Amino acid sequence: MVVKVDTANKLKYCLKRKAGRSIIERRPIFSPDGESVAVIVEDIVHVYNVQTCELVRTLESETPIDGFVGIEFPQNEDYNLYGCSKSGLVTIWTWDKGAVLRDTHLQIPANLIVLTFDLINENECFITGAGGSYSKNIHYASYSIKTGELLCEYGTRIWNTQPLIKVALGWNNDDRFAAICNGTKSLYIQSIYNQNTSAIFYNFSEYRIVSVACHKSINTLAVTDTLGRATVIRGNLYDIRNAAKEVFHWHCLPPMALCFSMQGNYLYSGGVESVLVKWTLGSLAYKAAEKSFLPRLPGLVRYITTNNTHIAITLTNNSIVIANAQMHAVGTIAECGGVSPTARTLEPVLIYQHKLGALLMHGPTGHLQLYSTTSNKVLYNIDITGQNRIQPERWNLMPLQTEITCASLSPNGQWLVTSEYRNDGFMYPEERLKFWTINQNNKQKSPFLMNTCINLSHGGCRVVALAFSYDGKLCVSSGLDQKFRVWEFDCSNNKRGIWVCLTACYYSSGVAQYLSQGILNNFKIGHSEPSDDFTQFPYMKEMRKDDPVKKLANFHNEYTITDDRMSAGSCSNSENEMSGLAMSRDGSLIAAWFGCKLTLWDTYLCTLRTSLSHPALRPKGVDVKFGNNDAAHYLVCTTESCLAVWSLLSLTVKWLVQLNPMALCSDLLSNKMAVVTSNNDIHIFTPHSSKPLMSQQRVSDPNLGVFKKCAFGASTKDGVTLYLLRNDVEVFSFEPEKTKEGRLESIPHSNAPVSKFSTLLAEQQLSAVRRGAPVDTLASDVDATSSAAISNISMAPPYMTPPVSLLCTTFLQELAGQEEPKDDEVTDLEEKMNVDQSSDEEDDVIKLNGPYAPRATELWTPNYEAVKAKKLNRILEDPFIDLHATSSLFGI
Amino acid sequence: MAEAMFSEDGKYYSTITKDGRLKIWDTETNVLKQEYTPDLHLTSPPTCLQWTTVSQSVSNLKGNRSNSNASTNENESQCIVLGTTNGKLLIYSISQAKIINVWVPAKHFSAKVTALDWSRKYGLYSCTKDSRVYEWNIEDGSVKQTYNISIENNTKQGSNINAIKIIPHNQHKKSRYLVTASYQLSLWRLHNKDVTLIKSLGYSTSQTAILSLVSFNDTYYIVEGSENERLLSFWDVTVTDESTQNNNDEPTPNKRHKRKHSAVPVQPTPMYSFVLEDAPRAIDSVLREGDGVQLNIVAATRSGVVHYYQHTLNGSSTKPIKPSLTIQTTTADAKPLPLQCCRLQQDGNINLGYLNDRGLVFEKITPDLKTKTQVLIRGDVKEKKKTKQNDNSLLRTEFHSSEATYLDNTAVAPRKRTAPGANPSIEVPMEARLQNLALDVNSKSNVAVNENLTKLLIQGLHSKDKDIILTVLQKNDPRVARVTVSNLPPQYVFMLLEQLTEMSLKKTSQCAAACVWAGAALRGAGGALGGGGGGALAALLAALTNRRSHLCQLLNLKGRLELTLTQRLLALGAEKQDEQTAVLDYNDSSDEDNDADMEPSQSESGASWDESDEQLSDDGDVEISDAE
Repeated sequence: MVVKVDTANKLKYCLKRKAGRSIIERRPIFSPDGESVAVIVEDIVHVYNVQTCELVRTLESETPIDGFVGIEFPQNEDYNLYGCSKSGLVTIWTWDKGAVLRDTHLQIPANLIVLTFDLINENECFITGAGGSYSKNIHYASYSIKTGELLCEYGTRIWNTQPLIKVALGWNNDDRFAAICNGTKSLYIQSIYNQNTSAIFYNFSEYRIVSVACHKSINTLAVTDTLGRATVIRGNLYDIRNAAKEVFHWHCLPPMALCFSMQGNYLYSGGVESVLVKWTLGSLAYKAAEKSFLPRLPGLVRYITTNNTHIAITLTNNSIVIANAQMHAVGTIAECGGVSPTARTLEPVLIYQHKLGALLMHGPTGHLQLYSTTSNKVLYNIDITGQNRIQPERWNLMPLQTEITCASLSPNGQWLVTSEYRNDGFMYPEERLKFWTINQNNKQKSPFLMNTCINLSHGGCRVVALAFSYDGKLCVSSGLDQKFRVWEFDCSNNKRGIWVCLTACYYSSGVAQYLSQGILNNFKIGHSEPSDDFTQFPYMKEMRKDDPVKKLANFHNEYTITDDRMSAGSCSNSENEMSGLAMSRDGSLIAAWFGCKLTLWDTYLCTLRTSLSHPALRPKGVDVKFGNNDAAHYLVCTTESCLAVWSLLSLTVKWLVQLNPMALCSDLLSNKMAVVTSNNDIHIFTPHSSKPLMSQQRVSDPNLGVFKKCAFGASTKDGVTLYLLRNDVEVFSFEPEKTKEGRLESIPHSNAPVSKFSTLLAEQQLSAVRRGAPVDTLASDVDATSSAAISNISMAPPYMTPPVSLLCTTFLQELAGQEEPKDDEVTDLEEKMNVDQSSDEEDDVIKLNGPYAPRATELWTPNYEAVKAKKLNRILEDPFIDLHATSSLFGI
Repeated sequence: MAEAMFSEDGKYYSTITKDGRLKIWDTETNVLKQEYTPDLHLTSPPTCLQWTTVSQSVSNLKGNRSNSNASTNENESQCIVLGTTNGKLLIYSISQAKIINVWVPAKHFSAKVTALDWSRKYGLYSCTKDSRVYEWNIEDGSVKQTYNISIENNTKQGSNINAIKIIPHNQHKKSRYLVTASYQLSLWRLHNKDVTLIKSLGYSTSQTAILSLVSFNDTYYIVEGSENERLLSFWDVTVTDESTQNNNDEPTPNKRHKRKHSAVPVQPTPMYSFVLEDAPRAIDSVLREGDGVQLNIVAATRSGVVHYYQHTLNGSSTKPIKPSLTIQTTTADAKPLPLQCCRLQQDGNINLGYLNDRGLVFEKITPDLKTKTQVLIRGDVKEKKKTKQNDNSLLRTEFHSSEATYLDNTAVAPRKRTAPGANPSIEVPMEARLQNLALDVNSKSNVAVNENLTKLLIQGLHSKDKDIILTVLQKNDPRVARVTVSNLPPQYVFMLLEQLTEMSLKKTSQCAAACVWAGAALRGAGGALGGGGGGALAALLAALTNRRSHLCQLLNLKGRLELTLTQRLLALGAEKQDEQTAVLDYNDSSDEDNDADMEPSQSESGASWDESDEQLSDDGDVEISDAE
């Protein structure tokens, strides 16, 4: 019925950024209504809901820019959001609709890159910048946002120590000032409107100042220093020497983040200890010096932002924790990545799990992350090591943690194997191999359950590769001890079954671990901790090369901490060093690299079958994979400089290509394989032929980052999806371009109730309950006091009574027996005059309420005498009331 | 209809409960993510829901944005549109967990919304009880167009449309095509307020229907399930050029209808029908290209099973098609867990949701077409807790250590071998190695007996048959032992060691054989023993050490005996020599008779050490180094 047409249309592939963009680079801000947080993600502003911590909408600039440096709401114009890009383009959005209101180019010097952006008011801003002619010292000046012209450039030279430069704007006796710290002992205070008024404050005992914050309205300023102190300074800030100071000291490491609360009665600080501290300032005398903590945050604190109800804490594990004012964490805005600097130097993990449709990759220290590719969300952070983080100390600001070096997933998704390692160079290395089974029943807790944990599976040497057989019954692990071990799932002894080691196979003498790892043989002495003498740590007072404070400030994308610590004490002997491993689809063969020798082993006997070598494969192999499906008789291997395919039938090289492969992966369900090179070229091929099925050059700029790992995702009927992991832990997908039908509509505004209280109120309130008649307290009061007066006035002859216009109105009402009949008329009048929507809605309400909810006035049932009296009184009072009403209305 | 629905990407599943609440589950993590109680949920409860996707950003209108869009995440967020009995539409945002918009079709309007549908291309449509279809403008929440669909030829009273489905088409016209379902299933064309009936697709016994649209290469089909019928019908609803042209020429639907379906009798019949166990609760369908065009349908029935149909489209047939697979869930003690919902993914897997205790549990399974029924045993699930909306405990999974097994492998590193053995990991030149491999086949064929011995040994070890094991292990030839062990898979090495330990406790000749085999095992399977054979080796070592520890005393005793003998010899003279030899003979024989008894045998086993000493000497070295 349906003719199958061989469509020769080539699918067009494109690269998409999936996840892992840094959301912690800049400081987030709360929206004025307190419902959402705006977060800078490179060149886009993401708006997250505070309650659900989910992305609500995005704000973009009109023209492409190179990333925002700051966003802020002006204090007296809080319906517009101001943002400034690195190149000095100020964009103004309207907050409710998200539309760009205006763009202004600040006329900054050429090649200057803006470092910080602070609003002075809605017309002026204060920026600092570096680059171009300002390389040694920073440029700091105020600019007009309306025209973009330079208002004032300030003269005091401030050394450029990016990323340590921090700026806060504050008030000093009705004068705005900018406080700038650059990670040295001095704090620069510059008046904004008066170019010549400036001061430099040197911290006590010359400890370096690491962050600064200013109070929103009064002359108060706070700084933190490398000793861990937070100092609050009040008074004339141009003369700090004579100003009042208050010192809070709980931190022992440099607090990188500091923030005043909205009203300025509390101070929040946090840093390397991963604890948020809330200090009560001395101005609240009744609970002075109280502090509360939010401990065990999952990363170092980078920024703190507050509003009246919530605190947003930006952490280095690429997440933002939202805490309420009582310091309880209520939510997390989580993004992929957040990998520690040490783990970044290791071989990354990227595995596609078909069962969950998720990618398994490195998370924060000791965790693996499951990232759903369908919903683009982090599903789980799986705690693999099950250890507390090692706390940093003054002598060791960035201690080495146990990191996951390697992980693999069985093709049926049943088993996960992970390896963790820690070797600090003076203790015996920690190394554990863990087997996890999928948690079928209770996904809510954790998707994997640990089955077997093998301590020192490779005798203290790091595991470099792991591979499962297709049925998930066998596993092989290769380590730097130049052995690989075969593990088998054994369920003979207990019901659940455990993984046991069948054998260790090696190509050399098998003593490599003792030769290569001095640490394994030495006599171990526990490390004697250096005494906590401050003078021993020069970083506290002066900035030298390789400054640890600078590294802390740059912790989330630090590459310079290339830890040799993970491979401490090893002298590598690359002759027989193991790298990649693979098991064939039928499970009969194991392929393993020993140096430049590719060896094939029998799985049954665990003996060497053959070894393959070729001059082009020198000096060292990297990865190896068996073909799948109809290419199962091919073995694909990569070295640092070539890609080669061996035929297992003839044991010869079938073809060989010179390129610089970074990663190799194979699709489980087809014979396709993919290789990514150091130029970010992607080739998708089958082992049958050296002509790639699809090849794309330089899919992204290699200067920005190199793809280090790739994995095939769920393949569609003709296209493939390839997930790529860049060395900055950002995930990309390479997939066929989709042509979308139609443009999606967006909901720019909401007509739902906005305020928190009105959400409690129903739009229509329906009540059939009859209201109880109000107890007329006033009347009885009047009765009591004025019964005599009433009898007086009624008894008196008419010619004796005073004119009605002179009588007290309440007295007349009392006499008439009705309360304020004229009130209705007044409101009616008002309603007629008001033409805004609220009154319309009221009208609606009234109509909708219909017979059930009658007007309050109608509920009052008068008796006949009173009606008569009322009528009489109306006639009497009419002119008077009109006069009164009009005068009150028109303000006469 | 549509009181329960999966989101477009399958991430969420939402239902309207009987008390008018909206519940949203996260199917990936199995969490009841949000629960929303609308205002007036008891008097004007929501009647139907529809997932829609809206754009997150307002300002992607410009051309240069499309570039960066390709590189960013797709700026989409999901919303649920709820239709209520008082005619309002509520737009619920998942990311904000609240109603963000309330749309009212007209000022004085209160007909119940009965059905909703949304497509990326055509936007949102709603249908009310008085047979009006509204086309909505999502941007400002206004009604773009109102259509009045009156079912003229319907004889039954009170027939309401209960499900609608937008049919995409390729005609570049502004007209829209819509399938409505009540007692009759019909395809309509909506164009500029005009409504024309294009096709009538048959009748059902109930006016509540469940529809599912599938498409493949611009052909569109509808799968229809009725509330109380145990059949699903499959209709072709492709809007063809012919029909549209006709539409434009002469808008008389009946004629065209007849022309197109001239072969079809008055009562149109579906292309296919599918049998169910019970009336359907949820349907989903996908068309895929396999061998021809393959239709997959999943249907959850009211009886709590899920049927999976796989059918290749090939003409039409009147014979009902039976399910290819029926999926059920039970606990281990055979208490059925009713399946509630199902969804087909593009890759052929099925998302299932079943009721367990109180909560819904979601799972993704791959249909196993080898059998007719697939039973998932999912017992022993703990009570599912209702979580708060913004509970972030998910992101930190707990560490379960109680269930795991901890192995210690501190002493697993293999020792350096003193002598080259059968293990091929000795550093020999490549040529020699390759030659070795080439010759391997021949050499093995030469020692075919040993291959058989290996097999016999494996059999014996597997069955734990003493006789078989002894026939193999009593061969004392070191070469035979070496070849046999080298062909033994590693998992049998430990069993062999256990046997050897047992043998070494027995009489001298067996112990001697055990020593030969132990030597062969240590040489041949060093890797396997290094991989974690500490226990077995320790037992063997203990047995041998036990034997050897008495060596000194035995030698002492032997010396004394000899001394006594010589003294007796001297004292008694030459004529009594016969008696002395008789004493020795007696002892020897007694030892061999009761070998199971250890105490008496000790004295004589010492004497036998002399015989096996040569074999033991090199083995002993190996074992001692193992002990260290």
